[in-house]
Amino acid sequence: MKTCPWEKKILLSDSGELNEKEQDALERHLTQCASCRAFQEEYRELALGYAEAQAEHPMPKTVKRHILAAAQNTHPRRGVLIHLPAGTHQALTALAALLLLSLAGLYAYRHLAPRAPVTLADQTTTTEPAETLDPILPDDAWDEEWMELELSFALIDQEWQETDTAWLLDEETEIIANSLMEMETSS
Amino acid sequence: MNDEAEECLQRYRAGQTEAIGELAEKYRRPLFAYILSMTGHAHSEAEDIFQEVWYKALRNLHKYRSDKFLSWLFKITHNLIIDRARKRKPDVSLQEKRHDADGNSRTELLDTMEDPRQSAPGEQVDQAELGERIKAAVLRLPAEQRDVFSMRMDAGLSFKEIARIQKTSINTALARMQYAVAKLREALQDDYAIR
Repeated sequence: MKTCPWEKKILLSDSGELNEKEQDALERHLTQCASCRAFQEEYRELALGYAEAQAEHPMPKTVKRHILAAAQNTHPRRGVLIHLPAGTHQALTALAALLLLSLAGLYAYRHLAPRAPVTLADQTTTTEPAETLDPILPDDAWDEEWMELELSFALIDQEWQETDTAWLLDEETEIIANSLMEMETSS
Repeated sequence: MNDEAEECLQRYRAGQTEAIGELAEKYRRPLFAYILSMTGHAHSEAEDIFQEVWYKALRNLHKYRSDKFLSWLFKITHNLIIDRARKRKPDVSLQEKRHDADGNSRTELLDTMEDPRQSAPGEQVDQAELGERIKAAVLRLPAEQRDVFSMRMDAGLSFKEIARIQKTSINTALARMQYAVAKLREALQDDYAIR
């Protein structure tokens, strides 16, 4: 079957896939090519006739009911970690591990760091309490730290809502919550 | 059109599962027309496929990363129709009947479906409307050409989208449409204004 190469442009023009320059070129060609004009006319008539012949196919109620039931059963919020995109789980695990390491480091700094011996002379000569006397942070500093942690969780929540996919593992959430409680108790 | 679909999807993700019902209703016409065209107007089978398309779409919604929901649905439908045909006859392709390296002929998709040529004989459409004659002629097209024709005419998909769904080049998709138009012209030349 030998056809004019411009017929493809006619099809692309109908589907709106020609740029302005190509469209102009096609218009110019159509003024000169009777075969392409006939093809364009035939194509339009076919499209019109075919569209008119399309009957309505009402959706059976059972089909709609089944689709809605499936929509409820497969809704992402019903399950946990079913629809995580590739890499999200690993990223969240890494984030949780980082958080735990930070917490462990903080704990070690506070409880395991060697303290300088405190003498009576030190106490009498120092007007302000030396840091070595009490490695535990003052309440204000604790509040700040808590706020930072809360913020990091808020960011996770925000990302969670934005992507609608980033769900933390229950286990991971529990580990983090336990660590926070531990910190709070030790303070 | 896409904005509406995106809005429905957002509502679904927010917990309003009935939004999927609205989407199914919205895309019912083009999907049904396409499925019917590809299955030779077997209504009960078309309903099964339609339902299965939505099951698959719902299960894979997290993979949908585009703003062309209808095109995505058609990709699922296209694959599902081929899968079903393969289950009936394993060596099936949507391509034209052809020979493999051993010289064995491959089965065309249509051969596994209800034969539309039986349900739409030319003699019975003499009194039918022009549109019906076109529909009957479309059913007689080879499956791959009918696939392109239906996706373009029923759903208004672009040739770029059709080519992606068929995993072929845009040139091939266009050529299939050219062949389809030529065959329809030939089939309808006696009783239609097409010359």
